[in-house]
Amino acid sequence: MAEATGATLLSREQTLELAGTALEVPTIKSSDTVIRAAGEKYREGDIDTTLAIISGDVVPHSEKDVNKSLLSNLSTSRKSTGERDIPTDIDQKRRLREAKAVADRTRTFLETGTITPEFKSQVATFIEKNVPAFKDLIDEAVKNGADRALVVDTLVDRVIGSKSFRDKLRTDFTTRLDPTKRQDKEKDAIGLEGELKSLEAKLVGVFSDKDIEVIETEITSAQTELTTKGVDLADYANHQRVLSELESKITDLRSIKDDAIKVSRRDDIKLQIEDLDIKMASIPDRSDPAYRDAYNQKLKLETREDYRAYNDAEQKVDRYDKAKAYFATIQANPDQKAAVENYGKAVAKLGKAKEKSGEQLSEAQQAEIRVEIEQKKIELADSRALLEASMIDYFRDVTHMPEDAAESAIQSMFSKIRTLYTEQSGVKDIEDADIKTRALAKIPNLWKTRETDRKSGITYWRASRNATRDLMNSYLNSGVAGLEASMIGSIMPGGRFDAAYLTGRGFSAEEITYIREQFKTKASVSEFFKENGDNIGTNVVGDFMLSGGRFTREVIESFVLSDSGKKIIETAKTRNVTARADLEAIVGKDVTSALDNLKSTSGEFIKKNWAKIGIAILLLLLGGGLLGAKAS
Amino acid sequence: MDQTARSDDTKKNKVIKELTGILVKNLETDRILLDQGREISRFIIDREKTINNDQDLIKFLDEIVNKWPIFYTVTDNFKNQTTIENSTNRLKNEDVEKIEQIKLHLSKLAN
Repeated sequence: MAEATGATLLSREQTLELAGTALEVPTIKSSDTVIRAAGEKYREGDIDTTLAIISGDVVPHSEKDVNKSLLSNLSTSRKSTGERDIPTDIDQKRRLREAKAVADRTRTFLETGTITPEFKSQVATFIEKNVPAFKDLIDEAVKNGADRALVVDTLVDRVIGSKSFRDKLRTDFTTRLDPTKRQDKEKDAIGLEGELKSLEAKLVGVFSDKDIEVIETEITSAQTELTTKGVDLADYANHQRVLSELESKITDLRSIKDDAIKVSRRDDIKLQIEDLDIKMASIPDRSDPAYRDAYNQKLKLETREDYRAYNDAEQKVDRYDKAKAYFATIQANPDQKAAVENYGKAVAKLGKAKEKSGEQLSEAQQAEIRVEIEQKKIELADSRALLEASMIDYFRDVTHMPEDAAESAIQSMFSKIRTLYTEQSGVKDIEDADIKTRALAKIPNLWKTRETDRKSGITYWRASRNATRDLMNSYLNSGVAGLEASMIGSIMPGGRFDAAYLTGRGFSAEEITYIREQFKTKASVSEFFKENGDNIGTNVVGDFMLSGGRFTREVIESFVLSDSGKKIIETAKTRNVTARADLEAIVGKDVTSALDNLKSTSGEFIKKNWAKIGIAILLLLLGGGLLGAKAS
Repeated sequence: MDQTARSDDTKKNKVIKELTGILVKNLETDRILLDQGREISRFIIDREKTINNDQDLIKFLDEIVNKWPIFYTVTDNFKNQTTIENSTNRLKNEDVEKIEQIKLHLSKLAN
């Protein structure tokens, strides 16, 4: 590593450009969170923790912070105060439990270096099942007699022990469990729920014409039921009307009717009228003045106010009592009682509905609101689905931290294969290197395409697996000359580079001039490959593995049998001397001896032991704990 | 713990605090990257344990400023302060010595 001086720091873009791939550059997105946490601790006066956070000895989020982050992102339950609560949903509960377990064991590893069996097993499963370069090879090597547990365990130890694993894990822990992180999608869902409730409230108690029709049908059925049960609807209505009319007056009316003086006076008048009737009946000639006089007296008595008032009160009280008796009879009959109650309810409902429909929204307005409600329901369902997906994404991000760190570490180790030759040449600071070195560093861009990472938005060069496989085969089988032919044929059609093509591959004007100069004549091209072919070939091998290439029997045989492959193995071996004992334990002494004496290794031995040899080559290339520098 | 050791500890803590402040400020203003900050903080944590007196502290400050010049103010301030302290102490010692000589002289005259 170049000594850090505080000056000449490369920007992230420059680093990516020069590195030729984003994969080997640890993302520093977590830096904001780490720096913020460190700044807070410094201002609190806690210097020890400030330094521990910056150094990475302590992850910036406390256990309480992490629990808060997990709850905020994995639970939609809330207390009455609005605070987040432990989820009641079974899936959310499970996700919370599992994510917390991974977060806890990751913290333990980062802060104390303790590797729990569960943590190790998570990385082991990933390495065994999901790394294309390892998967087939491990299976085949086990068939060849290798100890699966030992092979996997060794690979896991090397991955977990690497600096890039620890760096990536710390970065992911810091960014993914940031306590300020919230589910944005939840706001949308909550907003839509509110809008829906508000729209639905507008229609509460509102009756459409259709609703009124339904109630009227209910009334008709209730009327039919009344008739069936022996209640005449007209009688019922009359008695109902009498009660309604007299209910409020009945006390006064009854007091008039029962007043003894009034009764006596009425009886007296009544007797007088009866006497007059008798008198009038005894006079046959109605033109007789005596008749007319009796008639006038009777009329006068009949129209007396007290007399009329009394009679009126008496009649009304009688009608009222009859109505009461009528309803008492109905009440005594359960069938009639039920039928009357149903009828009464339906009538009351209709009255209320008509009253409401008159004072509230029009039919058109109601229809509009109903359409809006349906739309909001669909939006809410979509929003909840998005929230669920986002929560699952978060869950995946937290629970897969060890796997993602392992993947990153393996990629970082693969990328180091490309430095087998360049490091030997002594070039370390690419930004200070000459044009030739800078141009050579960009040669791998020729078999890559520029892609943008969907999540981070970072643009990087991605190696084509097919292109690197073909180039690697050419290099391993036919050496530098084969690589030259293959590159001329596939990467540089016609053996020419135009400026636009090279600019598109990240070359500067000066670098383009240099490259085009090298490829001017057939002789200059050959000279270029003679000098740089092994360097380029190693880059091809590294990119083949980075692109997910598998170590097949053919690839292994090419490695062991070809001069180019032997060169790579020899170089890797010289840099892995202390890993020798480990290697022997994993693949057996016969395989390590065969690799020591590549020239005399028989084809039969290679065919029989290709998988174990493959494991050995892979471990040598991965550095056996040497190329992938151990975490400090 | 004797008085000198306590005094050294206070000085050491003050210096570490100042260095950490500069480190945090430079990180917050993007003048250094976190990877570099890690290296610096690791250096401070590891070396802090080995500082037992002023000489160790000066040695540590020289090392850190050689590696990362952003800390020059702390180193310069500490050195200046130490120089002033030493001068003051020397002057005090000289004064005491002179007073003792005068006392001795006066006592001789009196006798």
